[in-house]
Amino acid sequence: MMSKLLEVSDLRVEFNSRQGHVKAVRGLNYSIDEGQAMALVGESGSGKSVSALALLNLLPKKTSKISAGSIKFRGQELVGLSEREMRKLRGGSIAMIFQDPLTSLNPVLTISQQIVEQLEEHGKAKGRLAEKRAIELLDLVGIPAPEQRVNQYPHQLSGGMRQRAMIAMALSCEPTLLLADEPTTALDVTIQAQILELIARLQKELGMSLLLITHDLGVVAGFTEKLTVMYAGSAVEQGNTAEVLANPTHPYTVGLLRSIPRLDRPREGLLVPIPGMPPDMTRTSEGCPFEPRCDFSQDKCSGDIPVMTPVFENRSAACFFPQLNSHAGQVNS
Amino acid sequence: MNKVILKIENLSIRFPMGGSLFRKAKNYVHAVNDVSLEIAKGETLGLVGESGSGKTTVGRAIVRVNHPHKGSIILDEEELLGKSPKEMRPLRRKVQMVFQDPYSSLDPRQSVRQILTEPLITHNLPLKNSAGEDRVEELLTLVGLDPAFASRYPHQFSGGQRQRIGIARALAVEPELIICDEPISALDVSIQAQVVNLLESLKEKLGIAYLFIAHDLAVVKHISDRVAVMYLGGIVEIADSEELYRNPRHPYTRALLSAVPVPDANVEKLRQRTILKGDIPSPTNMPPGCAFNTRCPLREKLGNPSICVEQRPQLVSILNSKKHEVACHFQEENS
Repeated sequence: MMSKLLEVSDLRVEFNSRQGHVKAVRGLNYSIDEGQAMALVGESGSGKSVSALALLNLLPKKTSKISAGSIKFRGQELVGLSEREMRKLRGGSIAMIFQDPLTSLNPVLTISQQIVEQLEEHGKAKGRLAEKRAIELLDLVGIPAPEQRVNQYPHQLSGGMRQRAMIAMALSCEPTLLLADEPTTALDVTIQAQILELIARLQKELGMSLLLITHDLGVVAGFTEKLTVMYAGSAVEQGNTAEVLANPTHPYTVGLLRSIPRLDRPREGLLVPIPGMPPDMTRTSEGCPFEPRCDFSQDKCSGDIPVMTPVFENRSAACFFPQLNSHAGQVNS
Repeated sequence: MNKVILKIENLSIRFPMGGSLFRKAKNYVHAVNDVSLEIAKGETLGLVGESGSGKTTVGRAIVRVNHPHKGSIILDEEELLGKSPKEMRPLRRKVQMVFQDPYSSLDPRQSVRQILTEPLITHNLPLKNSAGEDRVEELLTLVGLDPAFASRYPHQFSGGQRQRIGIARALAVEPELIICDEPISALDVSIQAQVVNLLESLKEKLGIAYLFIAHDLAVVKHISDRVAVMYLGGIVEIADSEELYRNPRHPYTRALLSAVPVPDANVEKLRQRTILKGDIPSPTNMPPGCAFNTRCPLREKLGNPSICVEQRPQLVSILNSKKHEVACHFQEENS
């Protein structure tokens, strides 16, 4: 058994907005081993990004707070860590790549200045040496002519190139955990393939752990070993990626896999959508949050909130009536 | 084959860069180059390509939002280019558009009733149908919304519901063709299937043709009868949907299909991905010859033949199928 690098337990995050009190993350549990790649999948509003921002204490302080739970990184508690301590980790041992590379890079600094700043902040290199390291990093992520590119500003690079620059920056201090929040959503498919292969290769070469946040189940399949599916602020299914995709047990995961058209299969009639809409996160429900949209719900589902329980080996789901033989990932018979 | 509703021939659209009222533009963005396509009545043509490939520009040209500098667009046997706005108005009944962003494409200060009656008033259409029922309520029912929603405003709806209102607005004038420009990419995964199914059932019921513009290849495969693939302003391959996905001939189509991840770990592990190098070139400075020659894995494999940089390949039918056309000098190599 490998050692746990990251352990998130009963994480709860709340926001105060004009629309009311939003409980964005409602008791999330997961862990990532050393060198493991885990995917966090969910729709917008499911709390997947918020839970990642909470890891690095990047949530807006005025309007939000971590109301309960613990985040342990190598045994060190991150919730309630001082800003000074957090700065050492952020960009150092834990680095993050964001969805939109244009708004996450500083437009008035060159790529070199931004990488050098990070290297110097974490005491990894200084001056000339840091500049040289910046060029090496751009070369590592496959940017052609890095000597010239390093002195350019973000607006002079294309979308794929900017994302590479951001990855270079994230890797600059050799993090042990890389958080990638929808790293390819803003990119075209052919560029997406380039970036995903790059992240996967670097993850193996450098022995990093990866937390990949996405809404695309296809991206998950090729690049992660473990999968956590989120709905309405908490995990609903967790297990080995290949197994969950082939044989999902939670009705939401089953519905999600049935609703997407597949490129690898012949066309079969109409799609099977999940009825209804995601819940309003300002409200708390008495029962299972997925109950109003669920095909398999029974009386018990509207009265009690199901918690994550093992379904079979290596799999848990938050459902009173898990689908043991859904085979939604297989060809529909 | 059914009657052709839309026929585009040799369409080219360019946008001037720089220049002003008194100075001629020095350079142009060549957004669309020499595109020809046809859509039959009741048919769905999928148009796929990456950002900057010109797919949206083609769609917008059909509703005359931009000004093509060459070519022709024939809608129901009438040439659209060169028509004045006044002459265009009656033709606009035949073609409508559904936009990508359901938030910015509805006027926040109009109620649903106002949104849906405006096109009826503009085209002097009755507000009641032949059975004497309210058209607004009929349209809302048609797109799967409660008719009681007519008095509500857009902000009271979710993204998926707004897209339904946008579709109802397009349907109001009973068009023959709807241009759907990325109609589901702003929606959540679980909602996308609902809207795709709605579009399909409307086609079945009303016999509408769609030009379905999207970058999601799996959705396009699902919804389209035929698919055209665009790269850097030109169509590189066009074929029946199943045929294109089973037997792609153009190296770009092949790379595009191999780049789409599939939610099946076993398939993903065995897959041979063709990773394209670099980015799509700038449409201000088009590469000579074949537009794809700067990134083409097939050209590299063949030892960089010079014809690719000298001659622009035309769309030609492949040997065993007239309906499958490819623009590549070496398309036999990929059979």
